[in-house]
Amino acid sequence: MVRMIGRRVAIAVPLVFVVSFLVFALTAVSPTDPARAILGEGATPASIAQLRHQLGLDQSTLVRYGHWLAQLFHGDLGQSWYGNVPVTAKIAQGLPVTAALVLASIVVTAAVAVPFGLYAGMRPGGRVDRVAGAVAGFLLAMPEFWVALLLILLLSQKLHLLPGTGTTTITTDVWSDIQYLTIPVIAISLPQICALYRQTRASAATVARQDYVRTARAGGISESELLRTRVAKNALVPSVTLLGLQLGRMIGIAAVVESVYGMQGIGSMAVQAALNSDLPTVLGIVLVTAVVVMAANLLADVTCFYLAPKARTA
Amino acid sequence: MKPRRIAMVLAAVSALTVAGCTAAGQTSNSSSGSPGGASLTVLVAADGGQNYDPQTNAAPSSGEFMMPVFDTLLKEDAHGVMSPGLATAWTYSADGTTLTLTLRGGVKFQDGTAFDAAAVKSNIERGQTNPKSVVGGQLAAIGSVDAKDTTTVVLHLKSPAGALLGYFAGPAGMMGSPQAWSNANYATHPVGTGPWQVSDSSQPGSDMVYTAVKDYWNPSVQKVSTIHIRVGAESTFVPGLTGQSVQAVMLTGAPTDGKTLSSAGLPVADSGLSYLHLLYLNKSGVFADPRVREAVSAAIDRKAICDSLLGGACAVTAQPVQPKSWAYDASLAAPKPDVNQAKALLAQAGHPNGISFTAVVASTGTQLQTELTAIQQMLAKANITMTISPMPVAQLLPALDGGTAQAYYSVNTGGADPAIPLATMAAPAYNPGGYSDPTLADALNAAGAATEQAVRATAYRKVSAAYQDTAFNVVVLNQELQYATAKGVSGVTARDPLVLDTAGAGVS
Amino acid sequence: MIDNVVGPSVGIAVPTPVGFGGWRAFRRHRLAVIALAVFGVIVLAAVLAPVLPLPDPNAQVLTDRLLPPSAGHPFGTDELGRDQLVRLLFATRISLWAALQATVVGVVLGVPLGLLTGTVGGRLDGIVSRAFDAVQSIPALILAIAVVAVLGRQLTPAMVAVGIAFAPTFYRVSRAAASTVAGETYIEASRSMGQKTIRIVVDHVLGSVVAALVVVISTTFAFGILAEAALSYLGLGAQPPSASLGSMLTSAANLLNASPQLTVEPGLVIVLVVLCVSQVSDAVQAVASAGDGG
Repeated sequence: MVRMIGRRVAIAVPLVFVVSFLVFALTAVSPTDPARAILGEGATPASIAQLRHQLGLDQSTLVRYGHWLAQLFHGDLGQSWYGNVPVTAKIAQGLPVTAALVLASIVVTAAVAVPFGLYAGMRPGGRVDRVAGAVAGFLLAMPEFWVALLLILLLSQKLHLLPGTGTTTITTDVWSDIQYLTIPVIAISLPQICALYRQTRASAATVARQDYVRTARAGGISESELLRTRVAKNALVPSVTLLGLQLGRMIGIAAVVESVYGMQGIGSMAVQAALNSDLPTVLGIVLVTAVVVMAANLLADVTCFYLAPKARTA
Repeated sequence: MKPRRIAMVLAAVSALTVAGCTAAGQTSNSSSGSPGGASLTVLVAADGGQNYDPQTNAAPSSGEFMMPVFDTLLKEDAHGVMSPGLATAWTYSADGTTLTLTLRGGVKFQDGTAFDAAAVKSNIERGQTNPKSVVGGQLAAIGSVDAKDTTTVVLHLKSPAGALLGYFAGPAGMMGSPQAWSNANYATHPVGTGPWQVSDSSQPGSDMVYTAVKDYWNPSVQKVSTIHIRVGAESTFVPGLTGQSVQAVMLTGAPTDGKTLSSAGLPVADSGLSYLHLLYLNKSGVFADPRVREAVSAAIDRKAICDSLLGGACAVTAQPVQPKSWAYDASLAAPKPDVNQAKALLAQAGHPNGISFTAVVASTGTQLQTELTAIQQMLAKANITMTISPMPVAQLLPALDGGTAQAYYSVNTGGADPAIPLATMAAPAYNPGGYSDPTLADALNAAGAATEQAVRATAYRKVSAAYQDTAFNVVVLNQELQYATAKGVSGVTARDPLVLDTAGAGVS
Repeated sequence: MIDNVVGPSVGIAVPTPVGFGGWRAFRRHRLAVIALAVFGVIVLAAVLAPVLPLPDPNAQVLTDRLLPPSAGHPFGTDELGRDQLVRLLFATRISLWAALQATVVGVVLGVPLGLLTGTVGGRLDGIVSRAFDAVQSIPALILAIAVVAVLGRQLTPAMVAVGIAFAPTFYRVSRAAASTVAGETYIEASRSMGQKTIRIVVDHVLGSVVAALVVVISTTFAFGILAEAALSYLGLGAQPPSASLGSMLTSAANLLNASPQLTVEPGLVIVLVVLCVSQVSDAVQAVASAGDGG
């Protein structure tokens, strides 16, 4: 178990390097001159040249990558070109918002999809299965930001049930958190619930067809007992893996939903930075996101290991 | 006096406490105002280029961020009447070449340094000499500044300049702390003498936070202890107000927003501000010839845009002031749309097959982009091909100056006093290549010098007329701007430069 | 075995060879056949749009703005009086093309490398797989946002980025199919019976890869439509004057209260296209795994 985690982490480290290199490569190929971007318009060629020298931009790419890596080890992601604030500070302010949004979405997704999926999988072809399957197919096709817009129109504008914009992290004022998170979380979760439902249903159905389950059923064990002891753990392995993947997708989708709803998380921050051509901020967010995704998938694999130690993730 | 004071304090405290309890459930959880103090959130569509130094940035969206932080030397109302600000008295000498300002005593900058005549001198000199200054033109008439004592400033003018008083009521009169100028983050965290200071929890670009300054010289305006100025898309204006996550918005988005909000029961008021929509032109290229500029002006059907896209809540004008202004030349109507006239003008200017150019517009300005798209089709009928390129606020002027674009569609205040907007529009940043037309220049100089209102009025009318005749920039219309507040918010007013003023605003 | 830190592609079974029998099985999924037909009609209409006798999508009639659906304008008009139906058609052109770009990039980047490393294995396999793992740890939209930040606000670079983000899935599936088939005993058997290697590859390897790839292609295409909509909505994708389904939603969002139909219509088109593609994908997957005996 510890060896498995150790092995995974050991593999993850070079992956982070690869991502960091990709990120750096993007800066290197960018046509924007960082010195000009920082100094703004009206900067004299002399001052631009001086800043380039100060920033070390006149050195070879490999040397610059080395310096950049060194900076990274000190936790310094550079300065934003738009407002000259440290990127780490900006990300630190936005991360709690996105974290609240994504975590809430994951919880909601799992809480809705898994029970329905297991139930439908145990009774394939039943009414729940057919209805849920059709609904899931339909909801999967909806763009999340469009859903968010429609929810804002319906729940905020027409029915005045919820705020139509606003940002929050996880605070002690739980009721307020729920109010501000409901619409974005629903928008993000809907398609993911459908995907997770289908995966859970499929693997539950597969497990339920196995001989040992059929034998147990024939032996008179109750459905819920069956679920708990035999089916759930094995069926959930692919679902947990999918959930880990979905966390990554949700971070990407959060960028759009945060912008629609006016939330100030790292997603909308990345969008703003892209619009302003503020490379350091965007690339800092890419790096942080990649690390989070890797950690999430590692966590998912560890959970799978606990659920079914003998199973192998395919 | 004393018992009344105690009663007032008690009333204020209880009001703030009640406001604090209700505000906690309504305002954004990421706010960090003083505990128990009321908080007011203003929503704007753009971040003003994240430069809130009034001397180096004149972008229309930046004004809101400067409002809580700075006091101006003078204040001016809608009729052009001056009242004291940081200066309590102002006198011109008999020949108009000396202006003496008496400053308010006991005022401090937000970083603790004293506000005195020396500080005013430093501010004026910085405005004149800073290479990035946008107020240089306004302060050009000032030859030298004499800080006679801590509260007396004597300005020696190169020539009479009545417009100076109006300038001092605007960005050129916003006094910043000389000691703070060298701060690395001065652009996003400016330091003035105003009622609220920039808080460290501010997030430039998304949520600027301002907290009430202790010992401010006019505490009666500090009815709220925290101000948030949040940046959000135009589509979040209505949801923000109806969902109670923001409390005040200038309705620069879809023209239907005002109706939507008032049918939702929210107070919508007319700002009374002049909100001009105009196309700035780079006159160093294809637009150097006034006939080409006039052709563009003649091809635009201003009334159609006004009626269809703004629901009629606007006035057609080609002058740089609104028709209600005392500086508007009523004898000169806006050109009627005439495609043939436009084509003829182009042919005279040597472009029989038409011209093409690129216009930039703020990417956050969805409503402006819609108008520009309508204008694009109108111009196409006159063989004028305009390419529209939306850009973030900070890149707009560089695009115009650098030649990437030849036009920039934006808004500006016509101002109650046209002195400031006219000076801005002639400033180098908005006039790349330094184009000057002799008629317009003469009229501007005469108008700037005049000190008596009657003389000023006539002089500025000449400026407006010259502006329209030469199509210095193509002004399209003046929108009657509204602003909306949440229920329970009082005292929010609209004033130039196109900002919502929270001084004296309260949340109940 | 794929030793993943980032996570496998879950739920995609590697099927046995699917040939003409597969099409007959597919035909039995009525819904999918209808979906395929609808999708075909949409694509045809979008491709032919410029030559069809339709009103000009850019023709503004300012006095006719924001009209509800009527005989003259089946889907109403937008904020500049332009006919919504025609605009939707031309916008679909751009969105379909964008999704196609992403898909092609994914295929070109992922499939050849996957087939290669799946057959050959060894050190190359390790290095290439690691690289794709790294790419897969960046969410597609985030990668697209980063590429747009670097290369400028245009649709094509953004969609190429989406394609790159999906390349790992193509890679994984091709690699799995190739390495599974390469080890199958019937290959050995065929070879011992004298069949040439190239015939073996064509008959067995490609056949099984195709079915799995159809599923990934349709998933990528569907995501491409959704991603284009999101990116253009944010202003990072299609720039004026070209209007895609996503950028139509940007201006529609401002008029959400006044004219909600402007927001609903482009969204429904997106849902329709994605739904059709997903139905086909589901049916193909069902046929393929049914052939697997599972």
